[in-house]
Amino acid sequence: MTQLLWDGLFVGSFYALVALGYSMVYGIVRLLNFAHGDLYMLGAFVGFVALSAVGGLTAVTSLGALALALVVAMTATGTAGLLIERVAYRPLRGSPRLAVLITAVGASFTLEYGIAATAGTRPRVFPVRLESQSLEVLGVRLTVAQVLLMLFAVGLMLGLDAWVGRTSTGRAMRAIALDPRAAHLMGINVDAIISRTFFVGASLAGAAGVMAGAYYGKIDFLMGFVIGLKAFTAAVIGGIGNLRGAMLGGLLLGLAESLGAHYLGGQWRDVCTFVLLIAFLSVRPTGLLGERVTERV
Amino acid sequence: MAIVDDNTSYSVDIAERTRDLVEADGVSTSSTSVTAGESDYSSAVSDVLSEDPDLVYWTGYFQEGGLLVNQLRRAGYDGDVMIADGSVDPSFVKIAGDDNAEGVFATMTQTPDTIEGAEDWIASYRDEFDSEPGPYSTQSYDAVRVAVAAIKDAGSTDGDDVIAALEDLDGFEIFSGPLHFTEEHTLSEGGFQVLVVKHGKFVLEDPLR
Repeated sequence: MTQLLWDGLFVGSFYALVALGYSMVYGIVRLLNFAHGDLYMLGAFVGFVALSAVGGLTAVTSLGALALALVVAMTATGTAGLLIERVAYRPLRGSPRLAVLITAVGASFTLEYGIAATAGTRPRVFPVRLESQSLEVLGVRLTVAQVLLMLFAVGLMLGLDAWVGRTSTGRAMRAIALDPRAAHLMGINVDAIISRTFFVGASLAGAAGVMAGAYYGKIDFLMGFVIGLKAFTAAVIGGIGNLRGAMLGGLLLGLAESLGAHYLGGQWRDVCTFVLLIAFLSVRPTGLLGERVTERV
Repeated sequence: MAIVDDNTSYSVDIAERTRDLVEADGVSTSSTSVTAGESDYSSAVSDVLSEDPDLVYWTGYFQEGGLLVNQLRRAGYDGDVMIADGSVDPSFVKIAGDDNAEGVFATMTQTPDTIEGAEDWIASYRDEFDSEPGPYSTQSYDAVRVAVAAIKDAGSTDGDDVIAALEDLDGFEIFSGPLHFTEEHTLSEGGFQVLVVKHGKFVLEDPLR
């Protein structure tokens, strides 16, 4: 039982990191950025290239190289997120939502098949692996790598929470989420803040991508698809647009999958996920922590 | 014995047939599934470990198979692992990690590499096509030879005559041995072999003759 909880929380922390980007972007521009899962994939590939470029790693230097790869990948995916916003979303701001949704799908395919064309469709194996034998703690089988990754994920989330809650950029973000026009009138540079939001959201996904690559070892150009859907589900469960909700939703989804897979059988795992999504959308579309949404005119 | 599939019909089919056959021999089995395209198989790993099996049989493809074997070994499983033909690929070893893949068994159809005495055939294939034979080259070669033999026996290209001639083929030598068709027009022997990973490569363990 505790093993199931631990497994669920570990997977859930990946979902949460990716869900945050979904939720941030939705909160501020009311857009489902379907390319978000592919930014996770892009992060993994940038990390792969960065680590391969360093080359000849020993056990000690590999952790340092991994940290470097994380920074490089986060910068690169952040920039990619910024570019996608500039090219695919900003020109369509103010047009019907469906149009932006379609460019989002386009951006997603561009990333997937851009990587497929440059890096190939065969899976790649990460040059650095966080391999460690498992330990038994209180009857739970876990590895040092899992603990490290979860601590890192929690650190990123706490950092983000502080950034949105305490800095002037964060305040501006929240203002835009409430009312973009009034925020603009109050002298907030709306475009710049939206760009920063995309940068931060995308770089979190990139970080998750590198972490997944280093932990699981295998990356491929479609790896962002499933996790993108799951992160979206997590964001909806927590209340899309609400950052703490996204974190909570990610962890809850991880737990639901782990418990569901155990008690109902592995083939039911994804059924659990998407039944939850449908249930929340139909019964409580604002999610667990989401506030009541009043349609803006 | 624990059987793990990836929910695709190919994989579930192997899993179910295997389960029926080994259970008929009195082996107790457990089954679980994973989702293709994901990375975290910890729930399947926990399920498998809770049964404490002597053998884990993975019936899906190499991408998930590599991850599953990696995660099983990391979780401390040290029993035998066997994988089905969809996972027989050099990438399997890379994804699982050399140490984790070592000693993994695989069920696989005959390939040119594992046929004893096929060196001459491979050499003439290279001369003819200027490339290495693929895993199914010998099977295609056999199929054409069988068709030619049947047409010759029938003395015509009429469909019914050729089918009758095919049914009458008895002991025609193909790569996997003498050929017989069953009542349902399937092969009487599958020509499957057991491979094992040695020093990071799949090599023949048992031709099952």
